[in-house]
Amino acid sequence: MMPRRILSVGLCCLLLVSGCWNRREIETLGFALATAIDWDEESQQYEVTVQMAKPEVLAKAPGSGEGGLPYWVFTGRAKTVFGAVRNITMTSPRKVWWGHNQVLILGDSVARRGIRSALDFVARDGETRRLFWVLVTPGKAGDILTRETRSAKAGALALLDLIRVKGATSVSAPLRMHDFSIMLSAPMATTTGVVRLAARGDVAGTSADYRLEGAAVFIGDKLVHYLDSTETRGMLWVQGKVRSGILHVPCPGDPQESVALEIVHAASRIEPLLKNGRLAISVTIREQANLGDTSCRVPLDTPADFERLEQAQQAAIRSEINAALSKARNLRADVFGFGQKVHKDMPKVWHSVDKDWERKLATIPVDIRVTAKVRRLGLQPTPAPVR
Amino acid sequence: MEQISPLQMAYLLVIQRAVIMLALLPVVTYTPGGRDGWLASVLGTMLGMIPTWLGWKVTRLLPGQDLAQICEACLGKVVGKAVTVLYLGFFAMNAAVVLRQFSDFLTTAPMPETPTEFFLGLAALAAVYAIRQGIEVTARVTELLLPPLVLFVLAVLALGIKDMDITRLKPYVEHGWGAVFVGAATAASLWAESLIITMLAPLISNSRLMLRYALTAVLFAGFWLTLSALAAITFFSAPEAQVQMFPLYSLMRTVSLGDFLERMDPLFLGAWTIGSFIKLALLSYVSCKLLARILGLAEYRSLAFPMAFLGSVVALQQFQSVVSLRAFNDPRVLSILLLPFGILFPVLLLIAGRLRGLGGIES
Repeated sequence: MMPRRILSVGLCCLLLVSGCWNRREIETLGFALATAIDWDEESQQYEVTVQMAKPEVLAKAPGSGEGGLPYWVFTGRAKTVFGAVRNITMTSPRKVWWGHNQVLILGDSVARRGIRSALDFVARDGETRRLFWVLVTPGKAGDILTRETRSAKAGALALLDLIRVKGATSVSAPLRMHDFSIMLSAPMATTTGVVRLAARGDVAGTSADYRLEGAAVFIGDKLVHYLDSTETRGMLWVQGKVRSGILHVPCPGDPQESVALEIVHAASRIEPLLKNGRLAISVTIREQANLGDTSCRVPLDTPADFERLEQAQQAAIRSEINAALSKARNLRADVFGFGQKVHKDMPKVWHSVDKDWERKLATIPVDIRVTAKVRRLGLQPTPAPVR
Repeated sequence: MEQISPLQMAYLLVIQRAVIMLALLPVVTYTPGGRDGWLASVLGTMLGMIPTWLGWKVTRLLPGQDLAQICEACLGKVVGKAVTVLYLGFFAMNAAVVLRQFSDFLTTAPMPETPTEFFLGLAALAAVYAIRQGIEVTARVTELLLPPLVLFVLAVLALGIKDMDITRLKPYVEHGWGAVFVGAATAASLWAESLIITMLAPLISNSRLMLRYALTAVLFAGFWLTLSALAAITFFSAPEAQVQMFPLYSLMRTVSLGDFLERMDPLFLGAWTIGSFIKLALLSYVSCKLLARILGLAEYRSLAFPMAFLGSVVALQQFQSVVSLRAFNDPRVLSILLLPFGILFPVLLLIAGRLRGLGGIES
């Protein structure tokens, strides 16, 4: 009896551990690192470009011999994104596997047409996760992935590196798919980061591959505009997403020269309020910076100097926010999430304005209050002594 | 004579209700707007105590007897049998739905190329084995597996805290209390299944503790469900949470702590498999027992295989696709179907029982 029982348990285990129908051997999978989607106007089809890792080369130390590039790039076309993805298999030796996809790049063409099909496939598919980054490029998305990169082993990895250090300047607003889709479903305009091919001709021999700067503004699922870096940081100030960056203010008492202030802390609060029965938005920014560099000839080491720096700093932050605000009003795109805040805090008021909120945004007073501090001035309190 | 402790009964009740609700989070999906799903869950738990309490009252009519015997004693041979047959249909259909849901989840999410029949058959065979071993074994397995299961699920939810934004719960009660009540009613109606205690009652070692443990089980499952609804809403925001097929599964796939602790979905698969299996075993046990009573058989275990076979056929034939399963499971329809089993029949039994002078003496 006993051996038979053991045997039957063993057989059952065999049935379970063999992986049955969905068995996939690792060497038959093409691990997508980055995906680019374009819309081809001529053939009226989606064009999906995938950068897949070639693990055997990727794992090797750089310059350790042949094997070629550590990645493959393949393209497929079809009327839907999923169809295009499947058509990739007609040229790719391995079936694309999405579990490790890191970046999704939307070309200008598809972004302006509407990204619903792309999002739908991503949301339905069982392999994708909501953790990859979503970027928009003003040109063709496929070109981003076909560029031979110098700053990293593959384009996707170069982009990930750029995203990792985005906080150092806070002029780009990339989002993960998770946050991107939450924003799309919220009563506000959606924004995400913009990537461009870096011009290599400007300075010969540089290793720059891409430039991550600015933000793409979507209304609904359609791209309407690219914000420049000033406007992007203006938006990020209000969203409370500025991590660090350099603010340039004129030197007190020497306005031809500049002072560089390094942002070390920033926070924001958006408050909708009713002034005499009229809706207004109050934005409060609290910021701290350190003096990092100056071309001034005068030392800036007295409390009075700091006070003047702080005032100049407030004005600088305010002008960045105002740049973003006036662009948002022109575009009728609530990139800050003011509407969402009204919805949360004053649901009754919201229901009276949500119908044409984008139009109302142009006339609703926005009160911007900035408290900016300068705290430290580095290891050497006076300008470098030059005789 | 088989015997289970009141605690084991409570565990069975929790797992029976919680697992499916956790997977599909109907309180979020079916509360208009979804944002107040957690409130609906709190309210639904309160309301869910009503069928549980009624079930307990029914067992007090004839202590030591199960639902089939009480039905016959209260309503007479013909009507009593008819109501018993209806309950059999209720529990057996429920088992078939669990079977189908279990395998549909696996084929939708992690293993789309595997035939549904494979998972379905495997689960049905496991249930047959469980029934043949007796309900005691299922109860002990539950006692062993429920605590780690709860811990795992809560721990993974905790990992997602950094991505949860509490302001996503605002504005509260945007669509009015009526909307919250709709969600609460759908959640509460699913508690009609707690009538299984009328089948477990004769087995319970210390029946005086039964009501207390049953209500605690409802409270605990409700607490768990409310936490999960809160997690899903604050993690995804209401509009996104509402369109997720399996919100908590998606949450666990998205959770990432320092790009290091991630891909927690296998834990969900584990919880789902354990929960579905226990629920299936329990419902199959109840169905077999009821069928044995109807047919006047002393032994219910021999019915396990035929019932499982029948259940598999129903699970496969009744629902042509995931869409038809969803349509059947839509609580807005289902709750009306469940109302007789959770409220109407128990009340009927209680009235008839009183008229016949049953349940007067507390033992």
